Amino acid sequence: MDLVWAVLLGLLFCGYFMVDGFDIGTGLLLRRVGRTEGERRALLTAIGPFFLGNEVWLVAVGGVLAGAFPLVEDRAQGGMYPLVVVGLLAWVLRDVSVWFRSRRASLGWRAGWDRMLVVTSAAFAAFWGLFTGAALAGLPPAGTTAGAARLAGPYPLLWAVALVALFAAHGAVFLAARLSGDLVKRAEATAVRLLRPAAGLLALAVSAGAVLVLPKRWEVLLPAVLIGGLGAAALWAASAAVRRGRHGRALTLTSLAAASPVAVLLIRLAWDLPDAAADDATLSTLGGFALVALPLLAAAQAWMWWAFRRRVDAGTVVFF
Amino acid sequence: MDTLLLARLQFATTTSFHFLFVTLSLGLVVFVAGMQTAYAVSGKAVYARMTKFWGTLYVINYALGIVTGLVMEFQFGLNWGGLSEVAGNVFGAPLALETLIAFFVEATFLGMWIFGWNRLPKWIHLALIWLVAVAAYASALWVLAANAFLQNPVGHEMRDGRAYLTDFGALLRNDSLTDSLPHVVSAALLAGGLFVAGISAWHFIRRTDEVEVFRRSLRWGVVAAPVGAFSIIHFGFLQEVAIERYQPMKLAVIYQEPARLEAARQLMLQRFGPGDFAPPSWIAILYQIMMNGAFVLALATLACLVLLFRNWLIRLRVPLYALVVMLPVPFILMITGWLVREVGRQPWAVYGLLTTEQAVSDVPPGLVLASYVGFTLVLGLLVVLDYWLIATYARRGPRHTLFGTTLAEPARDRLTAY
Repeated sequence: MDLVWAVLLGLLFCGYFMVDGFDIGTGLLLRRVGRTEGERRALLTAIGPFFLGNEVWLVAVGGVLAGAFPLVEDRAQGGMYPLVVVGLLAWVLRDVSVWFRSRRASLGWRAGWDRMLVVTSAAFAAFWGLFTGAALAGLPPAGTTAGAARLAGPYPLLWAVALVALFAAHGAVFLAARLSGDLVKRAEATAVRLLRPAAGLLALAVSAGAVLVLPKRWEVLLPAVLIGGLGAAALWAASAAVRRGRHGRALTLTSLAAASPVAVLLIRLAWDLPDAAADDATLSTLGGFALVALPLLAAAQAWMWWAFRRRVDAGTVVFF
Repeated sequence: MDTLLLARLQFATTTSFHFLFVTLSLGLVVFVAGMQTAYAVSGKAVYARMTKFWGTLYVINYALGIVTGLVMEFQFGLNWGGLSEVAGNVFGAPLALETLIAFFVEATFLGMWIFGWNRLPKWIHLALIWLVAVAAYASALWVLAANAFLQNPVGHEMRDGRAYLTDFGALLRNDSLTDSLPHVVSAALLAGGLFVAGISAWHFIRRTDEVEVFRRSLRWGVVAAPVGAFSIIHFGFLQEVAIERYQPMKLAVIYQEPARLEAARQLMLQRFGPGDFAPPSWIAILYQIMMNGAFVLALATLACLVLLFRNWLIRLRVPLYALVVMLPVPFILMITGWLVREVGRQPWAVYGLLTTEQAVSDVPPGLVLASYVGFTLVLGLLVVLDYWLIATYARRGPRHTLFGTTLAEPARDRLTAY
C-alpha cells in the first residue's frame, strides 16, 4: 500500500514538473520571445488553457502528502521553512501576474506585471532547484530549520541554475510547438540556444550530487545517475529535434527531462518514505477513492489537451 | 510574541482572505451556470450577456481564491507539524480528497470554460461550468469535513498518542458537519445574491441603459438572497445542538450566562481535569454581530423580494441604495461566523485530543513573524488590487467582456456585438 501511494506521489510530482515546467519557462521567456504587446499576449495564450490545469498537479502533490505521507509533509515543509515561504510567495506572485496583467488596457500596467512574471518565474524555478539540491541530502528533521543551513552551499545553487535553464528550455520548446508564424522561429532559436547548456548543467548537477551528497549505496547512485543522465541526454536530443522542426518529439523529450530531477529526488527519498506513510486504514480508504478518481482526472486532462491541441493563431480565444 | 500566537494569527488572516473569495466564488458560480443554462435553453442574447458579465467578475474573483488557498494548504506543513503528527492519519484524508476529487477537476474545467468561449460546442461549454460548480461544492464538503473533525473528532481511535482512522463514513456523518455545510452554502448563496443584486442596483441608480441585463440580474439576486438568509439562520441555530453536545464551553461563552458557564466549567473539570478550557469571551460579541446581522439581512432581503412586485424596487429608488449598502455585509458576517467557530474551539486544535500549543511546530518566533508579515503584506495588497479590478469591471457593465475575444483583435477588450 505504501508503495502504491509512493508511486502515485512520484507520478503527480513528475507530472507537475512536466506541465508547470513549461508555464514557468514561458514566464521566464515572456519578454525575450515576445517583443510586442501582441506577441506577449500570444505567449500567455499558448499556456492559457492549461495554466490552471497544470498547477493543480502541485496542489494534488500537497494533498497526497497531507493524506498519505503526513510526516513527510511536515519535514519537507517545516524543515525548510524560509525556503518554502519564499517559494510560496513566488508562486502566488507568478499566478497573479498571469491573472492580472491583461485586466487593464494600460501598457504601463501590463509591462509592470510582465516584469513581475519574469522575475517570479525565475524565482520559482530557482526555488525548485534549491529545494531539490537541499532535499537530495535527505529531508531535515521536522520542526527544525536545519534545511535552511544547507541552502547556502554551492550545490543547491548549482541546482537552482540548472532548473532555471531546464524550465526555460522546456518552455521555449513548448512555445515552438504551440505558436505560429514568426514566433515559432524565435522560440526555436531560443530553444536551440538553451537546450545544450541546460543538458550540461543537469548532468553536472546530478554527477556532483553523486559525488558530494547522495548516500554511497549503489541502489541509490545507479538509478539516480542513470535517470539524471537520461534527462540530460533527452535535452541534448531535443536540440537536434528542434533543428529539424520536430516540435512534438522535442516537447516529449524535454518533458521527460523536466521530470528527471523529481525522479532523482524521489529515489533518494524513497528510503525515508515508508516510515512516514499514513496508517493502512487511511491509505486503503483513500485508495478506493483514488481508484475511481484517477482515471477521471486523467481523462479530464487528456480532454483538455485534445480540445486545445491547435496552434495559437489570430483566431485563438485569449484571456490571460 | 510567541510562535503559537503568530501561527494562529497567520492562519486566521490567510483563512479570512481565502473565505472572502471562495464564498463569492461558490455563490456566483451558481448564478453564472444558471444564466448560461437559461441562454442555452432559450437562446435569448440577454442571458449570454448576463453570463459573460457575471462570469467576468467570477473569474477575477477566482484568482485570489486560488492563491490564498495555496498559502493555506501549505501552511499546515509549515506551522502545524503537531497536527499531522497526531491527527494526520485522519485529518489529512479529506484534505487529500479535496485536492484530488474536487479542486483538480474544478481548475481543469474552469480553464477550459474560460478558453472555450465560441470554440467548444454550446452544450459542452455549458456542461463545463456546471462541472466547475459541482466540483466547487464538493471542495467545500471535503474542507468542512476536515474542519468538522477538528471540532468534533470522530471515526478514529487513539493508539500510542496518534489517531488512526477507523470509520471514514463517520467523518461525513459528523454532527459538526451536517448543519454547518448547509449553513456555509447558504452564506455563499446570500453573498452571491446580494453581490448580483447590489451591483445591478448600482447600475439602476446610475440610470443604466442596459435595463434588460440588470433587471433580470436584479431579480435573480433578490430572489436568491432571502432564501440564503433564512436558510443561514435555520442551519445556524441547528448547529447549536451539536455545539452544546460536543463543545459545551464554546456555547456557554457565546451566551455569557453565569449558570451555563459554571456548568460548563464543571464539565470541563470532569473531562479534562484542572485547566482553563474556555475560549476568549470576545467571541460572544462576534456572535451577536453575526446573529443580529443575519436577522437584519433576512428581513431586508425579504422586503426587497416583496418590492419586486410591479417593479417598486426600482421605481422607489431607496431600496436600490439599500441593496448597494448591503453588498459587503454577508462577507463581514461570514468572517465573524468563522472566528466564532474557530476561535471558539480554543484551546484545542483537535477538540479534546490536541491543544493548539501541542499542535504548533517548533519554529523560532522570528521566522513565523517574518513569514506572517510577508504573506499578509503580499496577500493583503493583492486582495485590494483584486477588489479594485472587480469594481472596475462591475462599473463598466456588460459592454466589456473578457470572454471570446481573439488575438487578432486589438489588445483592448472587445466591445461585444450582442
